[in-house]
Amino acid sequence: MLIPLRLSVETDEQLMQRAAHGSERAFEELYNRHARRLQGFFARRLGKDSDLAADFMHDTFLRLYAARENYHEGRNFRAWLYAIAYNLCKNHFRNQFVMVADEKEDVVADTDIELEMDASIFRDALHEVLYHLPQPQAMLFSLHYEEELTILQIAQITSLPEGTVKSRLHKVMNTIKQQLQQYENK
Amino acid sequence: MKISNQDIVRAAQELRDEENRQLNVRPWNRHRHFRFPAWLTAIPAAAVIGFFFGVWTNSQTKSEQPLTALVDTVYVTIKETPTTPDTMQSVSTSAPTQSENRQVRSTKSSHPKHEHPIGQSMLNDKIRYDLLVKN
Repeated sequence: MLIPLRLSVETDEQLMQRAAHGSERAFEELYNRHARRLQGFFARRLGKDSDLAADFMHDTFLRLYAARENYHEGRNFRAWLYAIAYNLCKNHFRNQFVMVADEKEDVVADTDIELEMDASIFRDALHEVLYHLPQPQAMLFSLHYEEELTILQIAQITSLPEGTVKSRLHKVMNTIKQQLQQYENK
Repeated sequence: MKISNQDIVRAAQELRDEENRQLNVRPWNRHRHFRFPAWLTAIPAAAVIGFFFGVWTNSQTKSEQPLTALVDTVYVTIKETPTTPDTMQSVSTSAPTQSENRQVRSTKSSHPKHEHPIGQSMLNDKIRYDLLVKN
C-alpha cells in the first residue's frame, strides 16, 4: 500500500536532503516555508522596495536550487539560505556604494543604557529607529533578532569571529536605545 | 515605562510579522525557473514552421518554373517508309552455298536522308506548329 508522503512534518534539513536527490516537491515545501520570511528580510534590508525584495528572494531560491546537489547532511538549512541572502545584500550595497565600511567600534559606549519611554510611542519609535539604522548594524540586528539565527550561524555567514558578533550585537542594542531616547526627546 | 532589551526584541519581531503578513509572495512554480518541457513546445513549433516553409517554397517554385513548363508540347511521330530495303533477302529453299549466302550490303545512298530541323526553314522542318499549344 502506498502511503502519501507528508513533507510538512519533515525538518528543513530532511527536505533539503530530498531536494538534493531530485525531489521538486521537497524544494517547493522549503520555498513555501521560508519565502515570505526571506522576502520580508530583503524588504527591510533593501529599504522597503517590495519588487526588489521579491526579486532578491527569488534569486536566493534559484541559487539554492542550482546548488541543491552540493547540500551535505548536517548542514543547517537556514544558515545556508541566509548566507546566500547576506551575500546578495552585500553585493547589492557594494554596487550601490552604500555599504560597508566596518562600523566604528567606539560610536556608542559599551555600557548598558537604561531606557524609559512612553509605551504608546515605543513601537512607532522603534520602527523609525530600525529603518534608519546603519546597514552593517541593521544587518546584524536583523539576522539575530528578527530572523533568529544563532551567534554561531551569524559568525559563519558574515565570516566574523563569534566574539565580534556578540560585542557588535551588544553595541547595536545600545545604539537603538540611544536613538529611541533621542526620538522621545524630540 | 522602562524598556528592556527583551521589549525591543519582542516589538521588532511583532513589526517583522506585520510586515511579512502584508507581503505578496509569488508561488514557486510561477517563478522564472519553471519552464514547460522543451519537447512539448519544440515539436508543435517545428510542425508549424515546417508547414509555413512548405507553403512558401511551393509559391516560390511556381514563379521559377522554366518557360517550357508553361507550354504543352505534343510530340507527333511521323512514319517514314523506307524507299529501299536495307538488305536483300534470299528466297531460295535449298541450302545456300557460301557464294550464294553473300548478302549485299546496303549502300549509304540507299538510306533516306534524315534532315535535322535546326537551321532549316519553317516550311521544311516538318514540325507541326499548329499542334503547339500555349497554356
